[in-house]
Amino acid sequence: MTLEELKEKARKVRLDVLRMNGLKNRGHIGGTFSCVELLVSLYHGGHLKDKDFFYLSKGHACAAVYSILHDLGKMSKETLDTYGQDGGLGGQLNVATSGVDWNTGSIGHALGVAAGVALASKLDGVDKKAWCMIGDAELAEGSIWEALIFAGNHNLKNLICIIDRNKLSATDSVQNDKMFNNLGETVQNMGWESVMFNGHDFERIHDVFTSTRKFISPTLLIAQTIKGKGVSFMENNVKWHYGVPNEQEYQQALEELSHGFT
Amino acid sequence: MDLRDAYFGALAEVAIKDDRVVFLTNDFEVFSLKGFKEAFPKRHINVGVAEQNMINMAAGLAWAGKRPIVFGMCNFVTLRCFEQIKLQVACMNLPVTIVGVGPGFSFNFDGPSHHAISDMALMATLPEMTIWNPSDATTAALLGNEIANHPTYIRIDKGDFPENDANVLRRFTILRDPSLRPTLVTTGYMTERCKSIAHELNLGLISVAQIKPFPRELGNILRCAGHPIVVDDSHAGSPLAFEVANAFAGDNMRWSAFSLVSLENKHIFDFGDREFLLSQHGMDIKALYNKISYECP
Repeated sequence: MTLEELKEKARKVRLDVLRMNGLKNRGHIGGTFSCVELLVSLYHGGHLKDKDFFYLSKGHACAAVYSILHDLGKMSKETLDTYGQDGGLGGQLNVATSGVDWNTGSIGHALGVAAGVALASKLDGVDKKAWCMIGDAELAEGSIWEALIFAGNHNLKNLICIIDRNKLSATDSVQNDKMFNNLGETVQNMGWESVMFNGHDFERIHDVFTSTRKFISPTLLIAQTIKGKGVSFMENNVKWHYGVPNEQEYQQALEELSHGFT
Repeated sequence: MDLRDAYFGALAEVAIKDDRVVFLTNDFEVFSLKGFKEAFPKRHINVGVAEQNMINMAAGLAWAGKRPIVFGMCNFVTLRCFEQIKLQVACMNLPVTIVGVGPGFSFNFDGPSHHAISDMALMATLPEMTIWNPSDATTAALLGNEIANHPTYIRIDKGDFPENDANVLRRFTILRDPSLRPTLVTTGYMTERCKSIAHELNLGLISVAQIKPFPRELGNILRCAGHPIVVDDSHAGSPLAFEVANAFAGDNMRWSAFSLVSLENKHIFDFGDREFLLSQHGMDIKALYNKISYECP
Protein backbone atom coordinates (compact mmCIF):
# COMPACT_ATOMS: atom_id res chain seq x y z
CA MET A 1 0.00 0.00 0.00
CA THR A 2 1.38 3.43 -0.92
CA LEU A 3 1.98 6.24 1.52
CA GLU A 4 -0.97 8.18 0.14
CA GLU A 5 -3.23 5.14 0.42
CA LEU A 6 -2.23 4.65 4.04
CA LYS A 7 -2.90 8.31 4.79
CA GLU A 8 -6.31 7.98 3.20
CA LYS A 9 -7.02 4.89 5.32
CA ALA A 10 -6.09 6.84 8.45
CA ARG A 11 -8.36 9.72 7.45
CA LYS A 12 -11.22 7.31 6.89
CA VAL A 13 -10.67 5.65 10.27
CA ARG A 14 -10.76 9.01 12.05
CA LEU A 15 -13.96 9.99 10.25
CA ASP A 16 -15.56 6.64 11.20
CA VAL A 17 -14.47 7.08 14.81
CA LEU A 18 -15.81 10.64 14.91
CA ARG A 19 -19.16 9.51 13.50
CA MET A 20 -19.42 6.58 15.92
CA ASN A 21 -18.43 8.76 18.84
CA GLY A 22 -20.46 11.80 17.88
CA LEU A 23 -23.62 10.03 16.81
CA LYS A 24 -23.74 7.58 19.69
CA ASN A 25 -22.45 10.00 22.34
CA ARG A 26 -19.93 7.56 23.71
CA GLY A 27 -16.35 6.52 23.18
CA HIS A 28 -12.76 7.60 23.73
CA ILE A 29 -11.89 9.81 20.82
CA GLY A 30 -8.57 11.31 22.00
CA GLY A 31 -6.70 8.08 22.73
CA THR A 32 -8.17 6.54 19.59
CA PHE A 33 -6.92 9.31 17.31
CA SER A 34 -3.43 9.05 18.82
CA CYS A 35 -2.95 5.46 17.62
CA VAL A 36 -4.68 5.53 14.22
CA GLU A 37 -1.50 5.49 12.10
CA LEU A 38 -0.06 2.70 14.26
CA LEU A 39 -3.17 0.55 13.86
CA VAL A 40 -3.54 1.29 10.14
CA SER A 41 0.09 0.38 9.59
CA LEU A 42 -0.28 -2.87 11.54
CA TYR A 43 -3.41 -4.02 9.71
CA HIS A 44 -3.14 -2.41 6.28
CA GLY A 45 0.64 -2.16 6.10
CA GLY A 46 1.06 -5.92 6.29
CA HIS A 47 2.96 -5.99 9.56
CA LEU A 48 0.36 -7.98 11.50
CA LYS A 49 0.41 -11.41 9.86
CA ASP A 50 -2.59 -13.72 9.99
CA LYS A 51 -0.75 -16.11 12.28
CA ASP A 52 0.33 -13.30 14.62
CA PHE A 53 -1.35 -12.41 17.90
CA PHE A 54 -2.52 -8.87 18.71
CA TYR A 55 -3.85 -7.54 21.99
CA LEU A 56 -4.94 -3.89 21.95
CA SER A 57 -4.54 -3.18 25.64
CA LYS A 58 -6.00 0.30 25.27
CA GLY A 59 -9.23 -1.34 24.20
CA HIS A 60 -11.09 1.93 24.56
CA ALA A 61 -9.60 2.70 21.12
CA CYS A 62 -11.76 -0.14 19.77
CA ALA A 63 -13.71 2.09 17.36
CA ALA A 64 -10.60 2.38 15.19
CA VAL A 65 -10.28 -1.41 15.11
CA TYR A 66 -13.96 -1.80 14.20
CA SER A 67 -13.46 0.63 11.32
CA ILE A 68 -10.38 -1.24 10.10
CA LEU A 69 -12.00 -4.67 10.41
CA HIS A 70 -14.91 -3.35 8.34
CA ASP A 71 -12.53 -1.96 5.75
CA LEU A 72 -10.76 -5.33 5.58
CA GLY A 73 -14.07 -7.04 4.94
CA LYS A 74 -14.04 -8.83 8.28
CA MET A 75 -17.00 -6.89 9.66
CA SER A 76 -20.21 -5.98 7.86
CA LYS A 77 -21.49 -2.42 7.61
CA GLU A 78 -24.59 -3.54 9.51
CA THR A 79 -22.45 -4.75 12.40
CA LEU A 80 -20.29 -1.62 12.37
CA ASP A 81 -23.44 0.47 12.60
CA THR A 82 -24.48 -1.30 15.79
CA TYR A 83 -21.76 0.55 17.70
CA GLY A 84 -23.24 2.07 20.82
CA GLN A 85 -26.63 0.41 20.34
CA ASP A 86 -28.19 -1.93 22.87
CA GLY A 87 -26.82 -5.38 22.08
CA GLY A 88 -24.38 -3.98 19.50
CA LEU A 89 -20.66 -3.31 19.44
CA GLY A 90 -19.43 -1.96 22.76
CA GLY A 91 -16.73 0.25 24.09
CA GLN A 92 -14.21 -2.55 24.50
CA LEU A 93 -13.08 -5.34 22.24
CA ASN A 94 -14.50 -8.80 22.67
CA VAL A 95 -13.47 -12.11 21.10
CA ALA A 96 -17.06 -12.58 19.95
CA THR A 97 -16.08 -10.09 17.22
CA SER A 98 -14.37 -11.89 14.37
CA GLY A 99 -10.78 -10.73 13.98
CA VAL A 100 -10.35 -9.84 17.66
CA ASP A 101 -7.88 -12.03 19.57
CA TRP A 102 -8.56 -10.87 23.11
CA ASN A 103 -11.15 -9.22 25.36
CA THR A 104 -10.14 -5.80 26.64
CA GLY A 105 -11.25 -3.47 29.40
CA SER A 106 -8.69 -3.47 32.19
CA ILE A 107 -5.21 -2.19 31.48
CA GLY A 108 -1.86 -3.61 32.53
CA HIS A 109 -2.58 -7.17 31.38
CA ALA A 110 -1.66 -7.20 27.70
CA LEU A 111 2.09 -7.38 27.94
CA GLY A 112 1.96 -10.44 30.21
CA VAL A 113 -0.59 -12.21 28.02
CA ALA A 114 1.44 -11.44 24.89
CA ALA A 115 4.53 -12.67 26.74
CA GLY A 116 2.72 -15.98 27.29
CA VAL A 117 1.94 -16.25 23.58
CA ALA A 118 5.55 -15.39 22.75
CA LEU A 119 6.77 -17.99 25.25
CA ALA A 120 4.63 -20.59 23.47
CA SER A 121 6.22 -19.54 20.16
CA LYS A 122 9.63 -19.97 21.72
CA LEU A 123 8.80 -23.42 23.13
CA ASP A 124 7.44 -24.51 19.74
CA GLY A 125 10.26 -22.91 17.76
CA VAL A 126 7.87 -20.99 15.51
CA ASP A 127 8.04 -17.43 14.19
CA LYS A 128 4.67 -16.26 15.44
CA LYS A 129 4.80 -12.70 16.69
CA ALA A 130 2.87 -11.54 19.74
CA TRP A 131 2.05 -7.84 19.44
CA CYS A 132 0.44 -5.62 22.00
CA MET A 133 -0.28 -1.91 22.13
CA ILE A 134 -0.44 -0.19 25.47
CA GLY A 135 -1.04 3.37 26.59
CA ASP A 136 1.73 5.36 28.20
CA ALA A 137 -0.17 5.98 31.44
CA GLU A 138 -0.56 2.21 31.64
CA LEU A 139 3.11 1.87 32.50
CA ALA A 140 2.17 2.78 36.07
CA GLU A 141 0.66 -0.72 36.40
CA GLY A 142 3.07 -3.02 38.26
CA SER A 143 2.05 -6.00 36.14
CA ILE A 144 3.61 -4.27 33.10
CA TRP A 145 6.96 -4.26 34.88
CA GLU A 146 6.56 -7.89 35.95
CA ALA A 147 6.17 -8.76 32.28
CA LEU A 148 9.07 -6.51 31.19
CA ILE A 149 11.32 -8.33 33.67
CA PHE A 150 10.25 -11.80 32.58
CA ALA A 151 10.37 -11.19 28.82
CA GLY A 152 13.83 -9.62 29.06
CA ASN A 153 15.18 -12.45 31.21
CA HIS A 154 13.72 -15.10 28.92
CA ASN A 155 14.66 -13.37 25.68
CA LEU A 156 11.17 -13.53 24.15
CA LYS A 157 12.15 -12.26 20.73
CA ASN A 158 8.67 -12.73 19.29
CA LEU A 159 7.23 -10.19 21.68
CA ILE A 160 6.62 -6.65 20.40
CA CYS A 161 5.08 -3.99 22.60
CA ILE A 162 4.04 -0.62 21.17
CA ILE A 163 3.56 2.26 23.59
CA ASP A 164 1.18 4.97 22.42
CA ARG A 165 3.09 7.80 24.09
CA ASN A 166 0.41 10.47 23.85
CA LYS A 167 1.41 11.99 27.20
CA LEU A 168 -2.10 12.23 28.64
CA SER A 169 -3.93 9.81 30.92
CA ALA A 170 -7.68 9.83 31.51
CA THR A 171 -7.61 12.92 33.69
CA ASP A 172 -4.06 14.21 33.78
CA SER A 173 -0.71 14.72 32.07
CA VAL A 174 1.96 12.02 32.16
CA GLN A 175 4.33 14.18 30.13
CA ASN A 176 6.80 14.60 32.96
CA ASP A 177 6.54 11.20 34.67
CA LYS A 178 10.11 10.29 35.46
CA MET A 179 9.74 6.70 34.28
CA PHE A 180 9.79 8.03 30.73
CA ASN A 181 13.21 9.56 31.23
CA ASN A 182 15.51 7.19 29.35
CA LEU A 183 12.78 4.52 29.22
CA GLY A 184 14.41 3.00 26.15
CA GLU A 185 17.72 2.71 27.94
CA THR A 186 16.01 1.32 31.03
CA VAL A 187 14.40 -1.54 29.13
CA GLN A 188 17.54 -2.14 27.07
CA ASN A 189 19.31 -2.78 30.37
CA MET A 190 16.57 -5.32 31.10
CA GLY A 191 17.22 -7.26 27.91
CA TRP A 192 14.92 -5.48 25.47
CA GLU A 193 15.43 -3.72 22.17
CA SER A 194 13.85 -0.29 22.10
CA VAL A 195 13.11 2.25 19.39
CA MET A 196 11.53 5.69 19.75
CA PHE A 197 9.83 7.21 16.72
CA ASN A 198 7.05 9.48 15.46
CA GLY A 199 3.86 7.44 15.74
CA HIS A 200 2.06 9.48 13.09
CA ASP A 201 4.73 9.14 10.36
CA PHE A 202 3.82 6.15 8.18
CA GLU A 203 7.26 5.82 6.60
CA ARG A 204 8.97 5.80 9.97
CA ILE A 205 6.40 3.38 11.41
CA HIS A 206 6.95 1.04 8.47
CA ASP A 207 10.72 1.08 8.95
CA VAL A 208 10.44 0.47 12.68
CA PHE A 209 7.86 -2.32 12.38
CA THR A 210 9.97 -3.97 9.68
CA SER A 211 13.09 -3.77 11.82
CA THR A 212 11.43 -5.79 14.60
CA ARG A 213 11.67 -8.90 12.41
CA LYS A 214 15.43 -8.98 12.74
CA PHE A 215 15.65 -8.31 16.49
CA ILE A 216 16.72 -11.17 18.72
CA SER A 217 15.21 -9.67 21.88
CA PRO A 218 11.73 -8.54 22.87
CA THR A 219 11.04 -5.09 21.46
CA LEU A 220 9.55 -2.00 23.06
CA LEU A 221 8.46 0.55 20.46
CA ILE A 222 7.89 3.99 21.93
CA ALA A 223 5.63 5.82 19.50
CA GLN A 224 5.54 9.57 20.13
CA THR A 225 1.96 10.59 19.43
CA ILE A 226 -0.57 13.33 19.99
CA LYS A 227 -3.79 12.64 21.84
CA GLY A 228 -6.70 13.78 19.70
CA LYS A 229 -4.45 13.90 16.60
CA GLY A 230 -6.17 15.32 13.52
CA VAL A 231 -8.65 17.74 15.08
CA SER A 232 -7.21 21.08 16.22
CA PHE A 233 -9.22 21.58 19.39
CA MET A 234 -8.89 17.95 20.45
CA GLU A 235 -5.10 17.74 20.19
CA ASN A 236 -3.26 17.55 23.51
CA ASN A 237 -6.44 18.28 25.43
CA VAL A 238 -7.28 15.86 28.23
CA LYS A 239 -10.97 16.71 27.87
CA TRP A 240 -11.08 14.49 24.80
CA HIS A 241 -10.08 11.30 26.60
CA TYR A 242 -13.76 10.48 26.76
CA GLY A 243 -15.30 13.75 25.72
CA VAL A 244 -18.13 13.74 23.20
CA PRO A 245 -18.42 16.62 20.69
CA ASN A 246 -21.46 18.86 20.64
CA GLU A 247 -23.04 19.67 17.28
CA GLN A 248 -20.75 22.61 16.54
CA GLU A 249 -17.62 20.70 17.57
CA TYR A 250 -18.76 17.71 15.56
CA GLN A 251 -19.16 19.77 12.41
CA GLN A 252 -15.79 21.46 12.88
CA ALA A 253 -14.08 18.11 13.47
CA LEU A 254 -15.77 16.69 10.39
CA GLU A 255 -14.57 19.65 8.34
CA GLU A 256 -11.00 19.39 9.60
CA LEU A 257 -10.77 15.64 9.06
CA SER A 258 -12.26 15.99 5.59
CA HIS A 259 -10.05 18.83 4.46
CA GLY A 260 -7.30 19.09 7.02
CA PHE A 261 -6.50 21.96 9.34
CA THR A 262 -3.55 24.27 9.59
CA MET B 1 0.78 -40.46 51.06
CA ASP B 2 1.25 -36.70 51.11
CA LEU B 3 -1.45 -35.08 48.98
CA ARG B 4 1.18 -32.99 47.22
CA ASP B 5 3.09 -36.11 46.17
CA ALA B 6 -0.11 -37.83 45.06
CA TYR B 7 -1.23 -34.91 42.92
CA PHE B 8 2.04 -33.58 41.51
CA GLY B 9 3.50 -37.09 41.09
CA ALA B 10 0.57 -38.12 38.90
CA LEU B 11 0.69 -34.80 37.07
CA ALA B 12 4.40 -35.14 36.32
CA GLU B 13 3.76 -38.51 34.67
CA VAL B 14 1.13 -36.91 32.43
CA ALA B 15 3.38 -33.93 31.66
CA ILE B 16 6.22 -36.18 30.53
CA LYS B 17 3.98 -37.54 27.76
CA ASP B 18 2.00 -34.36 26.99
CA ASP B 19 4.33 -31.58 25.85
CA ARG B 20 1.49 -29.05 25.97
CA VAL B 21 1.90 -29.01 29.75
CA VAL B 22 3.96 -26.06 31.03
CA PHE B 23 4.45 -25.48 34.76
CA LEU B 24 4.66 -21.91 36.02
CA THR B 25 5.41 -21.11 39.64
CA ASN B 26 5.89 -17.97 41.71
CA ASP B 27 9.14 -19.23 43.25
CA PHE B 28 7.44 -22.14 44.98
CA GLU B 29 8.73 -25.70 44.97
CA VAL B 30 7.14 -29.12 45.29
CA PHE B 31 9.18 -32.26 45.83
CA SER B 32 7.39 -34.38 43.23
CA LEU B 33 8.18 -32.02 40.36
CA LYS B 34 11.93 -31.92 40.93
CA GLY B 35 12.58 -34.78 38.55
CA PHE B 36 10.41 -33.22 35.86
CA LYS B 37 12.11 -29.87 36.32
CA GLU B 38 15.53 -31.45 35.76
CA ALA B 39 14.40 -33.44 32.75
CA PHE B 40 12.28 -30.70 31.12
CA PRO B 41 13.63 -27.35 32.33
CA LYS B 42 11.95 -25.43 29.50
CA ARG B 43 8.53 -26.58 30.67
CA HIS B 44 9.03 -25.84 34.37
CA ILE B 45 9.46 -22.09 34.73
CA ASN B 46 9.95 -20.12 37.90
CA VAL B 47 8.50 -16.76 36.86
CA GLY B 48 9.61 -15.17 40.13
CA VAL B 49 7.36 -13.61 42.72
CA ALA B 50 5.15 -11.98 40.11
CA GLU B 51 1.75 -13.64 40.31
CA GLN B 52 -0.12 -11.18 38.10
CA ASN B 53 2.28 -11.77 35.25
CA MET B 54 2.26 -15.51 35.94
CA ILE B 55 -1.50 -15.70 35.40
CA ASN B 56 -1.42 -13.41 32.36
CA MET B 57 1.30 -15.52 30.78
CA ALA B 58 -0.58 -18.70 31.58
CA ALA B 59 -3.56 -17.26 29.70
CA GLY B 60 -1.34 -16.41 26.72
CA LEU B 61 0.20 -19.89 26.75
CA ALA B 62 -3.24 -21.50 26.90
CA TRP B 63 -4.47 -19.35 24.01
CA ALA B 64 -1.48 -20.59 22.00
CA GLY B 65 -2.40 -24.24 22.64
CA LYS B 66 -0.48 -25.04 25.80
CA ARG B 67 -1.91 -26.47 29.01
CA PRO B 68 -0.32 -24.31 31.71
CA ILE B 69 -0.32 -25.48 35.32
CA VAL B 70 0.23 -22.57 37.70
CA PHE B 71 1.19 -23.43 41.26
CA GLY B 72 2.06 -21.67 44.49
CA MET B 73 0.52 -21.04 47.92
CA CYS B 74 -3.29 -20.78 47.81
CA ASN B 75 -3.60 -17.10 48.62
CA PHE B 76 -0.86 -15.84 46.35
CA VAL B 77 -2.12 -17.65 43.25
CA THR B 78 -5.70 -16.45 43.80
CA LEU B 79 -6.04 -13.26 45.87
CA ARG B 80 -2.90 -11.54 44.60
CA CYS B 81 -3.87 -11.92 40.96
CA PHE B 82 -7.64 -12.09 41.08
CA GLU B 83 -8.38 -9.67 38.25
CA GLN B 84 -5.95 -11.51 35.99
CA ILE B 85 -7.75 -14.78 36.76
CA LYS B 86 -11.16 -13.22 36.24
CA LEU B 87 -10.47 -11.43 32.96
CA GLN B 88 -7.75 -13.42 31.25
CA VAL B 89 -8.53 -16.97 32.40
CA ALA B 90 -12.23 -17.10 33.31
CA CYS B 91 -13.73 -14.57 30.88
CA MET B 92 -11.53 -15.98 28.10
CA ASN B 93 -12.52 -19.51 29.24
CA LEU B 94 -9.00 -20.85 28.79
CA PRO B 95 -7.57 -24.20 29.94
CA VAL B 96 -5.44 -22.86 32.78
CA THR B 97 -5.13 -24.96 35.93
CA ILE B 98 -4.29 -23.03 39.08
CA VAL B 99 -3.01 -25.18 41.93
CA GLY B 100 -3.09 -23.66 45.39
CA VAL B 101 -0.94 -25.50 47.90
CA GLY B 102 -1.79 -25.20 51.59
CA PRO B 103 -5.52 -24.59 52.14
CA GLY B 104 -6.98 -23.46 55.46
CA PHE B 105 -4.47 -23.06 58.25
CA SER B 106 -1.80 -25.29 56.73
CA PHE B 107 0.59 -22.35 56.71
CA ASN B 108 -0.24 -21.81 60.35
CA PHE B 109 2.71 -19.69 61.39
CA ASP B 110 2.30 -16.73 59.05
CA GLY B 111 -0.98 -15.01 59.76
CA PRO B 112 -3.76 -13.75 57.45
CA SER B 113 -1.46 -13.41 54.43
CA HIS B 114 -1.08 -17.21 54.41
CA HIS B 115 -4.37 -18.43 55.91
CA ALA B 116 -6.30 -19.71 52.90
CA ILE B 117 -9.80 -19.30 54.27
CA SER B 118 -11.32 -17.07 51.56
CA ASP B 119 -9.60 -18.28 48.37
CA MET B 120 -12.34 -20.76 47.49
CA ALA B 121 -15.03 -18.14 48.03
CA LEU B 122 -13.23 -15.75 45.72
CA MET B 123 -12.74 -18.37 43.00
CA ALA B 124 -16.40 -19.37 43.37
CA THR B 125 -17.44 -15.93 42.13
CA LEU B 126 -16.08 -16.84 38.69
CA PRO B 127 -18.78 -18.59 36.64
CA GLU B 128 -16.31 -20.49 34.45
CA MET B 129 -14.14 -21.78 37.29
CA THR B 130 -14.18 -25.41 38.39
CA ILE B 131 -13.04 -25.81 42.00
CA TRP B 132 -11.59 -28.96 43.58
CA ASN B 133 -10.70 -29.48 47.23
CA PRO B 134 -9.72 -33.15 47.66
CA SER B 135 -9.45 -34.73 51.08
CA ASP B 136 -7.39 -37.79 50.31
CA ALA B 137 -4.46 -38.91 48.17
CA THR B 138 -6.56 -41.15 45.93
CA THR B 139 -8.70 -38.22 44.79
CA ALA B 140 -5.68 -35.95 44.48
CA ALA B 141 -3.90 -38.50 42.28
CA LEU B 142 -6.99 -38.89 40.09
CA LEU B 143 -7.03 -35.13 39.61
CA GLY B 144 -3.36 -35.18 38.65
CA ASN B 145 -4.05 -37.78 35.99
CA GLU B 146 -6.18 -35.39 33.99
CA ILE B 147 -5.38 -32.03 32.43
CA ALA B 148 -8.48 -29.85 32.53
CA ASN B 149 -9.75 -28.17 29.37
CA HIS B 150 -11.27 -25.22 31.19
CA PRO B 151 -10.39 -22.81 34.02
CA THR B 152 -9.74 -24.88 37.12
CA TYR B 153 -8.67 -24.20 40.69
CA ILE B 154 -7.33 -27.14 42.69
CA ARG B 155 -6.41 -26.91 46.37
CA ILE B 156 -3.79 -29.35 47.55
CA ASP B 157 -3.21 -29.73 51.28
CA LYS B 158 0.13 -30.45 52.90
CA GLY B 159 0.84 -33.73 54.66
CA ASP B 160 -0.49 -37.27 54.92
CA PHE B 161 -4.23 -37.73 55.01
CA PRO B 162 -6.07 -40.99 55.73
CA GLU B 163 -7.80 -42.49 52.71
CA ASN B 164 -11.56 -42.20 52.69
CA ASP B 165 -12.56 -45.85 53.21
CA ALA B 166 -15.46 -45.81 50.80
CA ASN B 167 -16.03 -46.02 47.09
CA VAL B 168 -14.22 -43.12 45.51
CA LEU B 169 -16.58 -41.26 43.22
CA ARG B 170 -13.99 -38.56 42.62
CA ARG B 171 -16.35 -35.59 42.81
CA PHE B 172 -17.70 -36.57 46.23
CA THR B 173 -17.49 -39.49 48.61
CA ILE B 174 -20.30 -40.87 50.73
CA LEU B 175 -18.59 -41.92 53.93
CA ARG B 176 -21.74 -42.61 55.95
CA ASP B 177 -25.28 -43.19 54.77
CA PRO B 178 -26.98 -39.80 54.21
CA SER B 179 -30.35 -41.24 55.20
CA LEU B 180 -28.98 -40.96 58.73
CA ARG B 181 -30.22 -37.49 59.51
CA PRO B 182 -28.72 -34.98 59.75
CA THR B 183 -25.86 -35.40 57.27
CA LEU B 184 -22.51 -33.69 57.61
CA VAL B 185 -21.36 -32.21 54.31
CA THR B 186 -17.72 -31.30 54.41
CA THR B 187 -14.57 -30.96 52.32
CA GLY B 188 -10.79 -31.21 52.44
CA TYR B 189 -9.05 -31.06 55.80
CA MET B 190 -12.33 -31.10 57.74
CA THR B 191 -13.29 -34.53 56.37
CA GLU B 192 -11.13 -36.51 58.78
CA ARG B 193 -12.31 -34.41 61.71
CA CYS B 194 -15.92 -35.13 60.86
CA LYS B 195 -15.48 -38.91 60.65
CA SER B 196 -15.34 -39.58 64.39
CA ILE B 197 -18.11 -37.08 65.11
CA ALA B 198 -20.42 -38.62 62.51
CA HIS B 199 -19.69 -42.05 63.95
CA GLU B 200 -20.34 -41.00 67.52
CA LEU B 201 -23.52 -39.06 66.79
CA ASN B 202 -24.69 -41.55 64.13
CA LEU B 203 -24.89 -38.98 61.34
CA GLY B 204 -24.51 -39.20 57.59
CA LEU B 205 -21.22 -37.93 56.15
CA ILE B 206 -20.32 -36.79 52.66
CA SER B 207 -16.96 -35.34 51.66
CA VAL B 208 -17.17 -33.08 48.60
CA ALA B 209 -14.08 -32.79 46.39
CA GLN B 210 -15.64 -30.89 43.48
CA ILE B 211 -17.08 -27.77 45.05
CA LYS B 212 -18.06 -26.15 41.77
CA PRO B 213 -19.87 -26.96 39.59
CA PHE B 214 -21.65 -28.75 42.40
CA PRO B 215 -22.29 -32.39 41.45
CA ARG B 216 -25.90 -32.62 40.34
CA GLU B 217 -26.37 -36.14 41.68
CA LEU B 218 -25.13 -35.00 45.06
CA GLY B 219 -27.86 -32.38 45.06
CA ASN B 220 -30.41 -35.17 44.61
CA ILE B 221 -28.89 -37.16 47.45
CA LEU B 222 -28.90 -34.15 49.74
CA ARG B 223 -32.49 -33.31 48.95
CA CYS B 224 -33.45 -36.82 50.04
CA ALA B 225 -31.30 -36.55 53.14
CA GLY B 226 -33.11 -33.44 54.29
CA HIS B 227 -30.95 -31.74 56.90
CA PRO B 228 -27.42 -30.88 55.78
CA ILE B 229 -24.87 -29.59 58.28
CA VAL B 230 -22.06 -28.00 56.26
CA VAL B 231 -18.64 -28.08 57.92
CA ASP B 232 -15.99 -25.94 56.20
CA ASP B 233 -12.81 -24.33 57.50
CA SER B 234 -13.42 -21.32 55.28
CA HIS B 235 -14.68 -18.21 56.94
CA ALA B 236 -18.29 -17.16 56.55
CA GLY B 237 -18.22 -17.01 52.76
CA SER B 238 -18.18 -20.79 52.38
CA PRO B 239 -18.82 -21.72 48.75
CA LEU B 240 -19.67 -25.25 49.89
CA ALA B 241 -22.49 -23.87 52.05
CA PHE B 242 -23.72 -21.77 49.16
CA GLU B 243 -23.68 -24.70 46.74
CA VAL B 244 -25.46 -27.02 49.18
CA ALA B 245 -28.11 -24.38 49.83
CA ASN B 246 -28.37 -23.77 46.11
CA ALA B 247 -29.00 -27.47 45.53
CA PHE B 248 -32.24 -27.04 47.46
CA ALA B 249 -33.23 -23.76 45.89
CA GLY B 250 -35.85 -24.08 43.20
CA ASP B 251 -37.02 -27.29 44.83
CA ASN B 252 -39.39 -25.57 47.24
CA MET B 253 -36.56 -25.55 49.78
CA ARG B 254 -37.33 -29.12 50.76
CA TRP B 255 -35.12 -29.26 53.81
CA SER B 256 -36.13 -29.57 57.37
CA ALA B 257 -33.13 -27.57 58.52
CA PHE B 258 -29.84 -26.21 57.28
CA SER B 259 -26.75 -25.62 59.40
CA LEU B 260 -23.32 -24.17 58.77
CA VAL B 261 -20.30 -24.72 60.95
CA SER B 262 -17.41 -22.59 59.73
CA LEU B 263 -14.92 -20.01 60.87
CA GLU B 264 -16.16 -16.65 61.97
CA ASN B 265 -15.84 -13.96 59.33
CA LYS B 266 -12.72 -12.32 60.71
CA HIS B 267 -9.01 -12.27 60.09
CA ILE B 268 -6.94 -14.34 62.47
CA PHE B 269 -3.65 -13.10 63.82
CA ASP B 270 -2.87 -16.01 66.18
CA PHE B 271 0.25 -18.04 65.52
CA GLY B 272 0.66 -21.67 66.40
CA ASP B 273 0.04 -25.24 65.35
CA ARG B 274 -2.82 -25.83 62.88
CA GLU B 275 -4.87 -27.66 65.51
CA PHE B 276 -4.16 -24.86 67.98
CA LEU B 277 -5.53 -22.30 65.54
CA LEU B 278 -8.61 -24.41 64.91
CA SER B 279 -9.16 -24.80 68.66
CA GLN B 280 -8.84 -21.05 69.16
CA HIS B 281 -11.58 -20.49 66.63
CA GLY B 282 -14.06 -23.23 67.42
CA MET B 283 -13.15 -25.68 64.70
CA ASP B 284 -11.19 -28.38 66.56
CA ILE B 285 -12.86 -31.76 67.09
CA LYS B 286 -14.17 -30.95 70.57
CA ALA B 287 -15.74 -27.66 69.50
CA LEU B 288 -17.08 -29.21 66.31
CA TYR B 289 -18.67 -32.02 68.32
CA ASN B 290 -20.44 -29.51 70.56
CA LYS B 291 -21.61 -27.33 67.67
CA ILE B 292 -22.83 -30.27 65.60
CA SER B 293 -24.60 -31.87 68.61
CA TYR B 294 -26.39 -28.59 69.14
CA GLU B 295 -27.61 -28.60 65.54
CA CYS B 296 -28.99 -32.13 65.79
CA PRO B 297 -32.67 -32.49 66.65
